[in-house]
Amino acid sequence: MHLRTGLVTEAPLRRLPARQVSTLVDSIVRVLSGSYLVIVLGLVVAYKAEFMSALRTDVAFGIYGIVVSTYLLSRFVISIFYRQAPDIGLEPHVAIISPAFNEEKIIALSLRSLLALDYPPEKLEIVAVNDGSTDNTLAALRKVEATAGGRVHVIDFAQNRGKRAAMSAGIRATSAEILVFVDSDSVLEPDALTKLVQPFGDPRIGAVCGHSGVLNVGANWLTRMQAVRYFVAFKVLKGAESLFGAVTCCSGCFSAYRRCAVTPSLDWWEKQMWLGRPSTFGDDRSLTNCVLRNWRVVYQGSAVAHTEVPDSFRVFMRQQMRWKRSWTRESVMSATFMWRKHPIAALGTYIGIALPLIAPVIVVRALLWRPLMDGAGIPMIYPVGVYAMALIYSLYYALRHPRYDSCWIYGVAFVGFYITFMLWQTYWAILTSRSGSWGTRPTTAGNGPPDSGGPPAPVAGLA
Amino acid sequence: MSWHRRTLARLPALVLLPASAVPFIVSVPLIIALHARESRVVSPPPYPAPAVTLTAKQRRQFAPLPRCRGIIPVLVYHDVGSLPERSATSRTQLARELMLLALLHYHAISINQYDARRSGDSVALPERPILISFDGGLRDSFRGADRILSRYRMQATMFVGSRELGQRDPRRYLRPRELARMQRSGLWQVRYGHAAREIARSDRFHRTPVDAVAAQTGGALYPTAARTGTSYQLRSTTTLTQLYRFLKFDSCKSPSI
Repeated sequence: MHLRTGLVTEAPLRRLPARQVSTLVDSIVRVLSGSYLVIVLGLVVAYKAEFMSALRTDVAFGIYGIVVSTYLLSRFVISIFYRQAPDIGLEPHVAIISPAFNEEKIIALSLRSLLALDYPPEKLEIVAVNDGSTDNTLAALRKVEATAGGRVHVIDFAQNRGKRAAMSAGIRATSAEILVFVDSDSVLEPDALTKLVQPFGDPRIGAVCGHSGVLNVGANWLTRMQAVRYFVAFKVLKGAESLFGAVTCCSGCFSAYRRCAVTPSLDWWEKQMWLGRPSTFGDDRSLTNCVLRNWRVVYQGSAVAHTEVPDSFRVFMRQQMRWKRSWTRESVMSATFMWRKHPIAALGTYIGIALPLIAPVIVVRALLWRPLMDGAGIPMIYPVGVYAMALIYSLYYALRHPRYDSCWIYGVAFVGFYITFMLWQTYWAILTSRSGSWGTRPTTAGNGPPDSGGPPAPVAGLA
Repeated sequence: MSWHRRTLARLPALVLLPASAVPFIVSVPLIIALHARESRVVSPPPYPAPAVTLTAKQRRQFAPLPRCRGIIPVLVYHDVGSLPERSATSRTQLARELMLLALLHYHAISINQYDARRSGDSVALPERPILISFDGGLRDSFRGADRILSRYRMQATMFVGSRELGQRDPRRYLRPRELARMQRSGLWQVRYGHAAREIARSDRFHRTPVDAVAAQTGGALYPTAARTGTSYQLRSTTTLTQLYRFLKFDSCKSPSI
């Protein structure tokens, strides 16, 4: 107990953002945002209804427009019915596994935040794996281990073996019933773990995905855009998937797995191959697929972690390329069994796979081909449609976020950013999906910028 | 910091909410205007139905015809109102012909009813059925005929060449969206194909009386015969008397269906 009390004032906990409380002004503005959201939704639906006849004149474009609008709006509607698991006082034996590669600056802070969790110490063990770091990560780990009263167990790889090897070693080093993975640059709220394990009261549930917010939200425009993206992706997309027990990616930032759901696939997962090459990233999406095949996977929105996101364009784009490559691989995997899930979940998954593949063609057609080749004039309707969907996306953030601030408008900016830069990565990612390159690190290296499959392409359909 | 100051500090964030509507406020009226302009240019409204009357002499001349079961006359029009094309019927002429049909208690039937009857199915038909059709999917046909059909409570079938659909000049030819709207109006049915060609090709029944009428009317064929170009032209120059004779001839033939 003394450890938890003594560490409360240390650096990592100061970095944890304070829980935001709504004021009267926030409540009023949130009501306004909600009303505005309903109006925009109504306009989109009315427009689509009015131009249903476009299906006859432009079949492909008409069907795409209706499918994408229905898909996106259905995610919002379904997520309304999402309910997180109540606190039933469940406190299973938990092991938090934290792999680290060259994380000397942050790993100690991350581990101390784990030690400060509001969870019975005797039921919580922390396994930190040094994946052959070439800096002082090991020393930092040893230092925390020495002061943690035996609650931190450090595994040291003499050479870098990759994130999956580190995670597997962590799993094998513990006998805990529940395995929790936390990225080394993520910080948990004190009650996050307690809330994360509550869904395991249902014996059908094999994995639980926590909610991840953006820790460095105030850094610049890029991190603010990602803050809105993360919020909507978790609350809406994962919330909608969770309703059917079919969350397709438990984010590497903060997720829990039932040991007996993971161990049958552990060896395969550790040595997963894709097109003849070892799969070096996308470990979280891949592990989720292993579990999802036979278990229910849910999202627990009240279990909150905050994670550092890339704050430079270059790093962000490389991260997105990795995510898309792993999305390519794991989409193929999930397509083989998702049909066995609830029909709505299965349909949502298959449409979610198809839309990003079609979206670039639609954008080129709407913004370039038709205006230039068909003489359709300046494109008006398509950008306004995208803006409307972006506004829905962003107003949802304003509506659901406890404290109203200007951050929501970055959701609109993000949709523009996505169409301008990220949309075009899809085909290249598919073509190079065999690549094991992290872009910024050794191929076998594990962590660093979080390599979660993360929010699953939430705006793919917006195009 | 006081409540007022805190609220003031958040003002820029609050202003974002109404400001985000600006793109809508600017673009939506523009889109509506573009749609309206396109509708005016490409989809002009139908022409009003011209006022026509029959003289007392004509009313006497066009006495009611006997009712004959099994005979379904077919009138095939091409252009309406876009004179001086050779195949065009003027709006006034069309109005007069439909007025005559109404006077003689003819009721226009749908192409589905016509097909069902041709294939021998039992289908309820009015006492004096007639099929009114327009070939070519021409915008002028719709614009010229729509109000006239409405006035005389007739329906018609618009035949549209499926191969050319969507590839022809939208200022001259109806677009699929408009065809769908026409279909919804209840006045029109849309059939992809070519009326005169299709009916004449497969319908031995209709070709015979038409040929016979041609003999009686000095060559003024009614266009259910094979050579459609000639037929359209003849159709556009027929008189009410010739139409009456055609109907009278049909009504006196023995049923062959």
